[in-house]
Amino acid sequence: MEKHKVIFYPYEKKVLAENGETIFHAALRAGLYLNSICGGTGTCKKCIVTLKKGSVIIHSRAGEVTEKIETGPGKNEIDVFACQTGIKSDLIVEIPDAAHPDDTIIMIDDLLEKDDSEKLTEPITRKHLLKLSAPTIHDNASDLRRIYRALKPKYQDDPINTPLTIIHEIPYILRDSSWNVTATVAQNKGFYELIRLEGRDRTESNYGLAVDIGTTTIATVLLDLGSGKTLSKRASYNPQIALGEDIITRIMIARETEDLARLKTSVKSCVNELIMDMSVTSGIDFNDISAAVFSGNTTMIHLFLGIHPENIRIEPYVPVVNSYPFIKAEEAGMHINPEGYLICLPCISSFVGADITAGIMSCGIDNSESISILMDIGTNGEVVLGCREWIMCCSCSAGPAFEGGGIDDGMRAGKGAIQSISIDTFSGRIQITTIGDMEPKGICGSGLIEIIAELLIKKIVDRAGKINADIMPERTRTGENGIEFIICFKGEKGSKKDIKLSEADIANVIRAKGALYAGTDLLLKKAGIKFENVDKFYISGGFGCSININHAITIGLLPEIPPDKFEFVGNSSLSGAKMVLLSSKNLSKAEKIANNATNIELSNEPDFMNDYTSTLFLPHTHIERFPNVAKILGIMTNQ
Amino acid sequence: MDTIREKWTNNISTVTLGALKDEGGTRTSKITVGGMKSLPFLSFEGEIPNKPVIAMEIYDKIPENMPLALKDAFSDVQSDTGKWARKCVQEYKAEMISIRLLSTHPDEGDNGPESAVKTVKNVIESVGVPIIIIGSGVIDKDNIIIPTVSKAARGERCLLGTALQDNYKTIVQCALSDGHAVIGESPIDINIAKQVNIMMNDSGLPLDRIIMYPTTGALGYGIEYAYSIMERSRIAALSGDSILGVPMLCYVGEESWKTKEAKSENEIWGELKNRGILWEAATAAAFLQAGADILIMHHPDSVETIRKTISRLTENK
Repeated sequence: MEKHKVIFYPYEKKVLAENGETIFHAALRAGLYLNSICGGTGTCKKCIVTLKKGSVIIHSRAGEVTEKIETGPGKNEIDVFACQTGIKSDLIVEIPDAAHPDDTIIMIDDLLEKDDSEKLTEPITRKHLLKLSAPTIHDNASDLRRIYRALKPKYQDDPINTPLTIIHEIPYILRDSSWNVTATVAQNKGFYELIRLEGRDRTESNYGLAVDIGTTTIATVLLDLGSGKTLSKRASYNPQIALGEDIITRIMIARETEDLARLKTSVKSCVNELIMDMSVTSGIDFNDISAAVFSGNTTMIHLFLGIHPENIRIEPYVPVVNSYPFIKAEEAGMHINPEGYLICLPCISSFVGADITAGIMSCGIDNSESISILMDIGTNGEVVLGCREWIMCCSCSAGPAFEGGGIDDGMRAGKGAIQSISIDTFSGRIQITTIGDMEPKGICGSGLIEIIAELLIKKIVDRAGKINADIMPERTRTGENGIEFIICFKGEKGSKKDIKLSEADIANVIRAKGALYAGTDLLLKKAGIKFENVDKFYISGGFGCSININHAITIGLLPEIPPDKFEFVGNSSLSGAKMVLLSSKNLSKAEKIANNATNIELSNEPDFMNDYTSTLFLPHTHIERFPNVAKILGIMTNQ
Repeated sequence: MDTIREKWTNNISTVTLGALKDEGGTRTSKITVGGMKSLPFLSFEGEIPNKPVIAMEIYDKIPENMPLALKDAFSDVQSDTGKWARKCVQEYKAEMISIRLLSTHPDEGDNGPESAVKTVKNVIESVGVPIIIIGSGVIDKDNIIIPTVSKAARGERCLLGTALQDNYKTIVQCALSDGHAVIGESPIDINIAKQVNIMMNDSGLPLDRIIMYPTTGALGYGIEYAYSIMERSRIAALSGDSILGVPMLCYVGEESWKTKEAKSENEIWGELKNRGILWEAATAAAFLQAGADILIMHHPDSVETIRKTISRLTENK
């Protein structure tokens, strides 16, 4: 099979491509994740790259193939969609800024944690220095018995098992180190396990890994299980994005066994790379990582473990398993100590996963007397309502609008994303700020909230989300998707293109915010309580750190309650995973939460459609729920 | 035993249609609907100042599948909208006339503004009762036709229809310039009904010039759903939601005569002659209970039956 050399600039990454392989796929293998929302079907137009030299074949969406295109010195460079272009010769490709998501801000801070070491009580694995006495004729207990005897003060009568692989090594290690050894004991469900025996004192080197497998980003943290301190943090895009932007697409792709394997492998490789990176940076040996706790939504965990996910997406939406067995790292192919365990936190339902269990635990909702809400603002849009006595949750299926998906000039939060705006309708001037203070490239989720709130307040957009062309006619025009408002013209502030928001984009955001609000509202209705009874409103999600609360209330994403009740918790999925590493009691806590939480299937609720329709207005059809916003907008309320 | 009385905090707005000579129009009668402070006919709980009214519907083109019973009732006048309207008022005491400009529909003749204006003027000159005018329902066409007929009927305080969630600006503009009221239409969805009213009100149309049409089906074709939407709207309105507190109308004739029950010659269902009439009357009676303030009906016999029903329900009140 003919192979072609492909070079990607400006990164100078080289890869050998098969004849006919798409540029998108080749880039992926070269380690470059091009922006894609449609998963390679050619619809989102985000993966545009510039062909500088070589010949390719272009597939149209209808499946037909157009003629071979050649370019090179003397000929014009052409822009192509990477996912629709097949490689036919050696190629030089340039990836423009917009296609490469490298600069995106990835949320790995969990804001609730101030000092990690505080939470260290009984970590999931512990290392013990054992100074054993050599056997004698009067004390000829077996090697293993001797070890267990030494561990008894710490573990009393709790059973400790030892795998055969470790048993094989025991006699050598004990005698080579003159009976001074370090035993690593790991927690399993209901018993302990001696997972490692090392000569001499190695008690200072015990590390644990917490991983959050998000639909969009994978975030990991390396902890020192002796002190509880964080050694290193890393994050990266979930490479599954290239195969499918959202969960449903990935589940459908996983129907083919080899594709399920591919989905599993891509995440596994990604996590392993992050582990190696963190190990090198922290100067540790990955064999000293004795446990890894994984969190993520139900589909992500299923795919990670290679479990058939198909029934998750089909009514009545059933996962194969909610509470996962511990898996040896070797079996899972993870680059930590092979005998260490991979612990996947329990999921609640098909669409409310381990990430929410972890979030509930890290926000302390299950411990609190007073009632709290946790809202994860993302594509799945899970919402939790509860307290120590009871917990309810639902998945609102908000859609990717807040992550830039489905918005023409939308982008993930990253350099160049417009995040704030101020409009002076008299002078016609618009002031914007972007992440990283770079030239504007697009609008991120938090920017969408800011812009729509400002447009609404300045009456450029009405409560139905329609643009009033009379207010600033010089910035209003009719485009492909209906009427659009130009936030930033090409050339303005260095922008390389017009950045606009159309009525269709606004409708998309309204639907997303409506779903989240309606889901929250329905949970409250079912519990028979009101927003004013809620003590704390936690907001999580990769997006959760940088939204303006007041503007989120103005557009009706968040309810109008005192702003001090809101608290950003960043990546609470990761915090919860960390909690389990640092205190094994938290594992049974997590199991309890997952078992007791009541999942409400919104599609099954007769009121939901009606409530949802009422949210399709800014801020809401029933403006009395937002009296302050009504005042700002100059609307009379009846009550 | 004491009667349990509900106490409502809000009343429905009052809408008056038809302008008399001293008000700038040429109508000889007006109608006022709405204003109640209670659920339908429960006047012991709150004042109900106005009775429901019956309008009769005429077309500027006879629909192809018009049931025989209707053709028979009006065969002598159907070729002339003026005569048709006059017969409805003089013989059958219709309190309003509703004109449906069917011929302007692209598939029904695609007539233009001149024809529509002619029809409306003809009816205005032929009767003195307040008038309802609706287009063909095709948005782009209606946006051309409605402004012209609105202007032609200027000053008469007609009821123009219909405004939709995505198409209300033109008709509201006409109502404001020419002094008419507007029918706000929604697809059996209480939230969309409210949203349509909000958008029209925000555009300057006061609540005393808005009437809701929640899209009603006939008996056997979703009547319960429409009924519950209307009832919920009323309850919300009386509990304080003023935006939903406007009168409602139902196109009873149009909906009930479409049904196979009204048209089928299958005599197992009873004599065809009376079946359609009963179907229309039963539909209308149900909507009276749901809170309809204006019933737009077709057959004279159904009209007569419902008039008696309204009379009985409102006597001694």
